[in-house]
Amino acid sequence: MFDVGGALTPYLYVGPTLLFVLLFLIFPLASVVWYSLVSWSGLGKMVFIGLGNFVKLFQDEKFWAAFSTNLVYVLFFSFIPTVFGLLLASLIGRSRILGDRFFRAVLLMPQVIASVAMGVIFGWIFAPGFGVLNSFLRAIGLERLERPWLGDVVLAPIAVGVVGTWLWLGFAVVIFGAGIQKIDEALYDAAKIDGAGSWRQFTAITFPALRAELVVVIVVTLIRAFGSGVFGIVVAITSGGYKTTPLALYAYRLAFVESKMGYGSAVVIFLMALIIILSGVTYAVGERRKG
Amino acid sequence: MKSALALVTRILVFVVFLLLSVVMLLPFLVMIFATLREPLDIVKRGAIALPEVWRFTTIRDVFTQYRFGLYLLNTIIVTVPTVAVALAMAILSAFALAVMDFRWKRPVIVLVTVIAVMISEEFIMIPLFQMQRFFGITNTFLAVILPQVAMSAAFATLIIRSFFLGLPREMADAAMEDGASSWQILWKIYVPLSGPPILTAATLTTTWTWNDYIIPLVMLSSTSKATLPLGLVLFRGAHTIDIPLTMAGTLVTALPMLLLFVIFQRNFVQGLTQGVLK
Repeated sequence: MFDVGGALTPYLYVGPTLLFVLLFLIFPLASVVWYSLVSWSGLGKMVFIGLGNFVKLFQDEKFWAAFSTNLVYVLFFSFIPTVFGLLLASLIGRSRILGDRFFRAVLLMPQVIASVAMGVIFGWIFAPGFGVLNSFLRAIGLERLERPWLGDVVLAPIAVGVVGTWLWLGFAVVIFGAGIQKIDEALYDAAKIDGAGSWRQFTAITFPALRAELVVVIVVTLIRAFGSGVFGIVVAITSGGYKTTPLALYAYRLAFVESKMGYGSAVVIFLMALIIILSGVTYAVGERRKG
Repeated sequence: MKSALALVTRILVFVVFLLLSVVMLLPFLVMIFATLREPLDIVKRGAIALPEVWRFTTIRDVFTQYRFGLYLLNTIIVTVPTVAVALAMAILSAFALAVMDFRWKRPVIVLVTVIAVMISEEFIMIPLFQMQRFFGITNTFLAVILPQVAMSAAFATLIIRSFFLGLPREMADAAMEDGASSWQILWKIYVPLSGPPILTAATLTTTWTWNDYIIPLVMLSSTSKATLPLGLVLFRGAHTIDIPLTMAGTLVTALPMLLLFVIFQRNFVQGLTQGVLK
């Protein structure tokens, strides 16, 4: 039916997707670069101010506070799941354990829950007074450990981080587990003959073989730790109070609450640059290991 | 001796994963138990207690006394057309990008299956807000659906194309020689073989659209248009004290996707592992 287009036929097939991608993803992406260079309330006139927004950004205490909060989230959303995911996956190793399909399902289950729903549930778990965690501590006689988990500038970002670890640890275990299954059994047999212990087997065989999986897990979790992955959780759990506001939420507040479209866009550009650089470095390191 | 040690190790690994599973499931259990208790009972006896009176009516209350029925309907109105349109578009573009040759093929592949799938919502939320005014669709479902279609179509193209690439080229060539048009080859040969990847793309894009918070938040200003995630945050802001009611609202938001996950588990696992490993 579309062949009537002759040489144009492929473009008729690609057209709708391409049009949507260009119009609703690429064009806004280009626009945000332009926005970051202007002062604009959203209505009325845009005033071009060059790098003015970025100069302001680097002197903005709230910006640096959001950035340091993101670093806490990187630890809990990315670093801890990657390290412990690798550890847990190598525990199973190549053997099949009883109920592995059940475990895989449970480990991936958090992935299908709306971020705000996670935030609400964990908000109840960490609630002050009669919340789940504090009630539990009282029940086992550890009253002195009771804390206002979400009402403290040190504890609240960590509490949000715990949600991230809960969310991404299972994902990492499943991805690494699938990678380990693909490793050639003969490599381990050869290593055992050479007298290599399990730690040596891990560093010499398992870890290098999981290069691609490591890159994927690190990049995916890093993007989530900086971006949309924390946004909904934070809004639902603390509304951004007690130093839990990440850069993405700060950008949203600037643009839509304070009507600083240009300044908010500058925060977005910083966030994008950070994600591109971090993903790029991770890919590059992963590639070099190959050789 | 050695095999006894191996057995002990395996049992230990099993126990570790069993404990891990309990931790993973705990938040779900916390949610379900809280919906079954009475608000005052929670205040009086704390969070860790079985319900004094088992109350199964709270989940009904969020529909009859609050607006979760409306939020549910709104979410369906946004999700169903998004996924249907995105999949139809993705099947077409995946076919062209897998089977056909054309001049701008490489740049289109990079644009759609590399750049587009990496764009996350907070990058584009500010311009998208301005665009809806330009199109005159401020505060409409369409303003949420259009960017969602773009993101879903890009991801679905990635998944479906990689499956199409694995199908033997000779099939298409033979049909072409018999005088079949590309349209017929796609719908009579390729699509009937591609149930699993299409289902994988459908389940994942459904979940992401259903759960999305940022785009509805930016686009929809009236509470009567709120989707479930948006409505849940609004509701919690107004009823922080009533834990059973809040948890029932959370359950209404989460349960449909949990059911989808249980039914299409195989597709989810495949999409999550393959989709990101591309």
